[in-house]
Amino acid sequence: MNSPPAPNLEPVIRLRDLRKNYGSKIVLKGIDLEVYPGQIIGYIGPNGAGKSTTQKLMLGLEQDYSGTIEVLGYDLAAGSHDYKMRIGYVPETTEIYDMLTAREYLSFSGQLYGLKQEDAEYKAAQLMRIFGMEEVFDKRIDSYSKGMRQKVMLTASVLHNPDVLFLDEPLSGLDASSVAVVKDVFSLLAAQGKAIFYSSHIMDVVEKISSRIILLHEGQIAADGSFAELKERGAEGSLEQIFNQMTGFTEHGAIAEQFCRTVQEDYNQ
Amino acid sequence: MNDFAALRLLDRFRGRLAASGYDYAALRVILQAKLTMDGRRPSGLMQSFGKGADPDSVSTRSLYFSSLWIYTVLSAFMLPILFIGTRNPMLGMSLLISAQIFLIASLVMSDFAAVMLDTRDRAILGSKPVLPKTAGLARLLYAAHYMFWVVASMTALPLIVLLFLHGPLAFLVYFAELFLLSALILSVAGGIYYIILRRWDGSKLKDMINYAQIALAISVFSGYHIGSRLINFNLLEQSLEPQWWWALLPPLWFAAPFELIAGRTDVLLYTLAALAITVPVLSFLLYVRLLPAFERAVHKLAEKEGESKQPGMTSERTHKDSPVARAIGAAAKTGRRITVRERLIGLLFPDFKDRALVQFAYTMFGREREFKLKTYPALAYSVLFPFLMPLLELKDEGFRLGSLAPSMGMSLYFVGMCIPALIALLPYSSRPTGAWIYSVVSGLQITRIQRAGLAAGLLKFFLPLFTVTAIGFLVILQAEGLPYLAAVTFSLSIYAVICYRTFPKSIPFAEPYPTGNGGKVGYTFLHMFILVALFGIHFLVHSLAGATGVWIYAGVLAPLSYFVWKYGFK
Repeated sequence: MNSPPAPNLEPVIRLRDLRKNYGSKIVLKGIDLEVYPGQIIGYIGPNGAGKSTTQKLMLGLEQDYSGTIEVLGYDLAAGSHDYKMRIGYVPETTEIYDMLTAREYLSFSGQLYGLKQEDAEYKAAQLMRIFGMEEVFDKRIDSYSKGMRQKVMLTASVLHNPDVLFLDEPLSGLDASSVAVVKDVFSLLAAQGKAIFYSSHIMDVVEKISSRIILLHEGQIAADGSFAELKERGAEGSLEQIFNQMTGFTEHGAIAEQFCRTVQEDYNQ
Repeated sequence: MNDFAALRLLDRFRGRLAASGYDYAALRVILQAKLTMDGRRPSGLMQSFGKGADPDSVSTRSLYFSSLWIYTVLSAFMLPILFIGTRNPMLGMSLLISAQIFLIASLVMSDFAAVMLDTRDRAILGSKPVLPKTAGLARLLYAAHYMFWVVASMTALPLIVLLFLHGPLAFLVYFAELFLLSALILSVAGGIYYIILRRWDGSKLKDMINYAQIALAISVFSGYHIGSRLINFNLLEQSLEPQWWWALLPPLWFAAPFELIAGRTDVLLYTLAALAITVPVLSFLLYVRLLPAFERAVHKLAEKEGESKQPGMTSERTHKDSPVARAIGAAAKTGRRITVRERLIGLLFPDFKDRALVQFAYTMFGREREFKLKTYPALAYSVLFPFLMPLLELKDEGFRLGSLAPSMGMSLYFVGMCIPALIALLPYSSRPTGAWIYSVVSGLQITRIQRAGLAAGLLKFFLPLFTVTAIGFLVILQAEGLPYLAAVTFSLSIYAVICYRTFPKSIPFAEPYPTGNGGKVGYTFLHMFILVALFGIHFLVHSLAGATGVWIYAGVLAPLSYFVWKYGFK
């Protein structure tokens, strides 16, 4: 599945020595990265490693960084917004106007990406029907289950046929069959030449659908390669085990034991 | 989504806006989405409380429109001023306009600051190809749309009266001035917020915004009073000669054209009238110019809020090994120290569940940015007002502190003004869905949550303000002021419970913040009247029986307030 970039392809994302800090707290300590069309990148790392910060910087949701960020050939420091026309984004599930219906939200989102209202609604209706959601299409999103919201978010992110997709836990809340569909959707979109950049904590999903895995640890890239390549570098085992090994985390057994002991304890003076 | 009349009006400017580099399609669809959402009821999370659909939950929009009549009522009280205007347009109109500036500016601060500094939809709009310029204009128009209706309901009556008293020309001038006036207020407020966003950074920024709210409230308040005093004395002596310093007072700019209409000509009056046009237009143009930068600065504010999400960034965590924490055995185990406030809460609420709720509400008030934006101006007013009456009296007495009557302690009643303002904001949170926690915990009555919210609000905001103000009065009035202060204290503590009982019941922190005031102004005015009534009773006792009578009155109120607090929440 891992496709080495063809030499004539330009990277769609290029990060050069990307650094970011919040006050005295340094979040990113120099990220160098090139992403090519057709790649499905699983961006993994422990909580607080800087995954969502990287994504937000690339989306222009956060500013004040040092280094270079180029998306689709646009240097973000130049303040251009044009590249956003060609990217799609699935944020956390809470980031949606859930007082609107799916039709309204998708038409709203599509229009902001420059689609005509009728086109946006037509396409949205088609995609929602494929997801089996035609019956709730005109119901308010705040009445949806988590998986249904996620389907709306996914649909909103591809409505304008973007070249790069940024996804934050794209499979959260989806049931097993929907996960299977979405996984195949990702592969097909990648085969169309789109780049997919997503962050997740669910290791066996990352293991199965990524063509390239990037492990972020303490603000730096600790590993970069296909699952097979990571396995060669590390020892045996699943991605989860490799993950724990590379982040130097070995005491999960002890911590779990201590946790459960404390659950049973009574508080005494 | 609906097609709103306001949007169709906006369509007329499509060409002009597009020519100025705005993405009209995006602008329209953002506004359409926002207005559509305001037209819906917030989701009925609280239906899980077993009370069925909450009949009180109405859409933000209809709440907003149903509260507008209050401003019309308020404007009726201003009408008599217009009759002064027939003899002396400069005086009448400047008084009317300064009152209106005061009201509009207060509203802009408490209600529209939240809209202007809203960061909630950053992830939704920020990731899309919407230029900051367009997003900024959408924000401004959204605020302006709501402001329009407030200003319209506040000025409809004066407009009609003006038409009959001063003729159609004055009517048209006043009508045009209302737009200029609103533009001026909006852009001055926007400018101040912008300077703060630019100037301060990091954690200071959030505090500065709150201080700015207080400072704005103080300056609007004192500006209004000083301004109206100056004009008052100057003009009542019939020395209507225009003075150069009139150019410093915006209400006088707007009043000048009416003097011109009445037939007076003076170079200064023309200058003032010119200022009334140029300053608002220029400042508004500058504000619109700065919108993209403003938008980026607001995003910076959101980034600062995101900061605290990073692990290890919470500053309020006390160290496990702090000596104070170790000294208090129990607290040391959880790594926190027990504060004076926690002791006070523990004393007032023996039940540990109540204590937890109060503690929770107390913390929430400290973290909710929108809550602070909306309450701080009210809090500033409630400290300022008590000093107004004594100051006016002192002015007549040549500023000798000793000349102040001890009954002046009664102006402490004004501190109570912040109580309805606090209660009105209790139901809201920026994360209302978190309220599910109330319904999963067993045996938690809504009244307990409400009481805890009220107590926390009073402890956090009212008590410190009242204590400081009361000490200030005690220093000035000395021992003679004591009976008055005692009676006010008990009277206000009863007042708090009355306010709480008369507000419609809703669950704290369980609804999203409404645009504008959420239709609670009506109650705020009702509570203002109750406060005035309490003041009236006190005043009656004072004038009938003097200080001794007030002592007795306080003595009656003390046990009464105990019982009210004990049983009043049942």
